[in-house]
Amino acid sequence: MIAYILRRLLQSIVVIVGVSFVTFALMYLSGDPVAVLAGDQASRQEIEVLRRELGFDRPWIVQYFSFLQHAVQGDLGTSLRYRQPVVPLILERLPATATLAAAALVIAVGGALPLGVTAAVKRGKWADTAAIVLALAGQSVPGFWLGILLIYIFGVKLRVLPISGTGTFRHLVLPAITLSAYSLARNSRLIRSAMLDVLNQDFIRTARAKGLHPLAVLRRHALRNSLLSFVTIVGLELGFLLGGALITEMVFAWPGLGRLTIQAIYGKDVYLVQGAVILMAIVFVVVNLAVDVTYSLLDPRVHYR
Amino acid sequence: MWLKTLMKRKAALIAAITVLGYVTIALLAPALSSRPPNEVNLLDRMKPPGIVSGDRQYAFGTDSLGRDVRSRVVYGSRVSLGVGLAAVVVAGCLGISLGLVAGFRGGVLDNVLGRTMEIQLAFPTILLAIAAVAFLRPSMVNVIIVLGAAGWVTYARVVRAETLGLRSREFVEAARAIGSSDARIIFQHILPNIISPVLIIATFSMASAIIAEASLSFLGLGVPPDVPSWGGMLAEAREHIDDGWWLATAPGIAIATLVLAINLLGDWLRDWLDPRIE
Repeated sequence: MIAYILRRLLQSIVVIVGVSFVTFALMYLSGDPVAVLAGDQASRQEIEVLRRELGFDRPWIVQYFSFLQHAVQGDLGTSLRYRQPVVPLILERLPATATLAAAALVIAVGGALPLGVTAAVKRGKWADTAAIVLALAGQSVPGFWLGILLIYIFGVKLRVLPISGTGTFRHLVLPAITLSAYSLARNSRLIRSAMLDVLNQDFIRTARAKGLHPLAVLRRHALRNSLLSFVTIVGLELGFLLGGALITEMVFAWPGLGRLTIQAIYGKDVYLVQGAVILMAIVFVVVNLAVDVTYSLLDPRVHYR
Repeated sequence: MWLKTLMKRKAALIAAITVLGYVTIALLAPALSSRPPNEVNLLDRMKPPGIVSGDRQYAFGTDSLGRDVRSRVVYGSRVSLGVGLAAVVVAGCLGISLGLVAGFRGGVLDNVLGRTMEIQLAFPTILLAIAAVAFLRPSMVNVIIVLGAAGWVTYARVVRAETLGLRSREFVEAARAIGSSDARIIFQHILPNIISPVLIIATFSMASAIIAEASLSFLGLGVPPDVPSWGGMLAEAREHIDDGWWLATAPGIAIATLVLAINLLGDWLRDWLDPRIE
């Protein structure tokens, strides 16, 4: 078990180093950061001096390792726009994104459970068809369009909910629904098929045959056995929610990590973009690791290879 | 055979007709739009759609620069379908060839590829795409390359697994016994047997590539602003949410119906080609 966790930890480090390498390489390819730093007025000579001062005249692989060395010490560079180290800038925005993602996760999982279970139990009936249609539609509507529709209906026409910003619970409602829609749809389908698998098992037939109440069969036997696929689903969800938050935050002007990143891209604030991508990768990898460990604790059949 | 199953599933039939409709619109775009999509007409700014107001000239209304929303939606179909298809082709070619080689040869290459796939699968695709586009310049070609590079893993994983299974089958061993070259075995015996899963993956990835392109263009990181795209139109619509509801309506419905139709086609393809999968 310990060996398994250590192995997964090592893998996670490889992933993060890989991501840092790719972002560093992309940044290197994208153009001359020194020219951006020096500004438009700088002469060629000034740029060269600055280049040597900052160490950009070294081979890029040397630059990468020096970047890694700083990164390990928690230094991911300085934002060109805010003139501050990027790490605290990013960490400051993390709670807003975490709140949004957590709310969306609650909706996506909490809503999908009754939908998926109902569809599986009522297989082939109208409730099943309705759930499938809803799930298909949810997977086809782009999140940002759904966001705009919700803003129009609830913010502009009905005027019942705020359309941008943060602060109260009411601010959270529309962004959370927008971010969760795709996941809600996909989870309903996954839970439906996981439940269908379990409902066909012999022990369910036995439980029914001995005259157990249908709801008790569902709760005590079916649900518990499809719980594992549920944990997997939550794990898959997090990467998607992080990516989706980038777009949702832009639609609702939600002051989180996603909005910070996109605005850094607009402002060519390369260090901030790089730092944000790497920190998101770390968050993502850590959460995934936690999910995998939970999974192995829940299911004694999982072998820790 | 395939036509019969298609006719039997009404939803799939409607989906096929929808997709064909969009392809026709994309091909005939100049004939279907009365004005060029980028023609600015400041006198006709923010006209509500003719479907509601009865104005014959602008069936879908005009935007804040007086550009015809209908022309822009019509031309936008070219971007969505073109980028979607090209991204699928790039991802497919990359994923299939890497998957084939890894599955067929095994060894060090297979190991390296396996690790790379794990790393990329462990990371949200859209974040990678956004990061890549951020450092490159927004252009149609860059969007295609980025979405292609983000999507190859799905193909490689499935093709590798299928190739691994096929490699030890009797007909492959028979081919090798009579002296067929590796290339001949791959192209004559293995490739034809992995077409079905590849087609299914391609259909679903086309749907997600279209959404990804629209998302990037919505963020201003996709196709350049002078190319009319559905995602870009929705970004402009976000600015006029209180005085121009129609700006978000047409491109939004266009993306949603196209993606829904492609997903439905994928569902049908999967049922028809691979009845094992639920």
